[in-house]
Formats: sequence, structure tokens, C-alpha cells
Amino acid sequence: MIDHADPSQTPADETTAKSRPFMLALLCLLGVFALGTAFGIVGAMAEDGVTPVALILLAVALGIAGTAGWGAFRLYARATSGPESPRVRFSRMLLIAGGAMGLVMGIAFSVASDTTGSADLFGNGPLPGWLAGLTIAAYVLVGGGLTLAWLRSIDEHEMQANNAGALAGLCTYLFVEPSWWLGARGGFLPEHQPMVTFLLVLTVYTAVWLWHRSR
Amino acid sequence: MNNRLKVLRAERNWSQAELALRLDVSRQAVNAIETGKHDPSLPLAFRIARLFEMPIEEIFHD
Repeated sequence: MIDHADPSQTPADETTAKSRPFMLALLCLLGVFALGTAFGIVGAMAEDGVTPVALILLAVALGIAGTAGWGAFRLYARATSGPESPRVRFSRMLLIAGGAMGLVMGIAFSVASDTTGSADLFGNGPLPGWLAGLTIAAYVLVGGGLTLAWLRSIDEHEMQANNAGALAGLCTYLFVEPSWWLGARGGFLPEHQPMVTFLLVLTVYTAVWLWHRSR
Repeated sequence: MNNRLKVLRAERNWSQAELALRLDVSRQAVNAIETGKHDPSLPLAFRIARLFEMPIEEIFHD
């Protein structure tokens, strides 16, 4: 819908505003993927030695990560250029803090994986006790605190979008988890991977939440 | 539910962000209410009515 009452808003601006959350999510995912690739290349170089091809791939991965990060920052800056109430600004800061916490946890796992050789985030193998304990503490205490604070700070429209996403995520879990469990026991599905289900639920929740938030 | 929020906002020459600031909600919330994609709660409807100094039924109607 074009905002005719806002002289500064054109149809092109409106299209940009509607697609902004998706572009932001896409750029963040691309940046994280490129950073992960860069970490992988550095790990390979540590094991196999530095080669020109590896250096070029590392430069490309870092270039993509940098471009995605810059693009995400520009989009975010444009989205938050208007006046905002302290509550809206606070809830956004909590979201950013949650994302930063996830990034720190991912980097910690990556570093621990290089040093212990057993800290695969998406595997089912054993973990060093200290790493599992620290991650649980960070996830439950910091993540839980951030989530509670965010839920208390958002407005009713955001809450409605969040509820729609949460319901979609719950339905995904209710149908995927038992089906996979039964299929694995029946021998026609691969071994059950809890983190894959978790990521699937998280993806569905986030997609529905962002769609409801921006439509 | 239909509403006159966009017209009332235009009469005061406020942007969606300015109205959102006055109502302590996000700009997306104002946009969703104006386009009929989100029906405000009773407390928010009262805040809107107080801001525009009008009865609720003059702003919102079915």
C-alpha cells in the first residue's frame, strides 16, 4: 500500500521497505555462510599449508562477507532513520544482542572444533564438558534473559507476528519430529538429528515472523 | 476493521514514524493498522483516540 500521506514515500520506497527484512535476513545469512567458509579455509590452510588457490578463495570469502555485512548495515541504517520510541529501539537492540550471542557461540564452537577436533555444532558426538556447560549457561541464561526482555519490550503488532511464527514453528516440530523418529526406527529415514529439526523449526519460525511483521 | 488513521495522520502532516513515536509502537505497527492488516487492541485504540482527541468510533468502524 502506498503511503499517500507521506510525501517522502514513493512506490519504489514502499517496495524497498517491504522487501527490506528479507534482504536483511538474506545478507546476514550470506555473511555468516561466507565467514564460515573463510574459517574453513583457514582451518584447511593450517592443516595442509598455504596455497595460492586457498588464499584467493579466502579473499573471495572475506570479500563476500564484508560486502554482505556492509549491505546489511546500510539496509539497517535506512530502516532506522526515522524517529523511534525508546521501547522500539530497545527491542531492536535486544534482537541484535541475541544475534551477536549466536555469532559468538558459533565462533567459540569453531575455535573449539579446531583445538579439540570434536566440537561439531551439528553433530551428535561427545563434547568437552566445559564447552557444553559454558554453551548451555550462555544459551539458557543470556539467551533466556534476552528473550524474556524482548518479549516484554515489543509492541502488540510485533507480538502478533511473533505468535504467528511461534505457532508455525510449533506445528513444524509437532509433525516433523515424530515422523522422523518413526521413519528412522522403521529404517527408511536417516538417523535422527535433533539440531536439524531445531534449525528447521527456527527457520520456519523466523520466516513466518518476518513475513507477518513486514506484510 | 476500517479506520481513518491515514487521513487523520495526513491532516496533521505526520509521517508513519512520527505517529509511531507518539503511540510508542513501531512504524510497521502503524502501517499494519492503516492498511487494515492489524486490528489494534482496546488499550492502543484508546491511545490513538486520545492522541487525535476523538471518540474511538469516529476513527475505527466495521
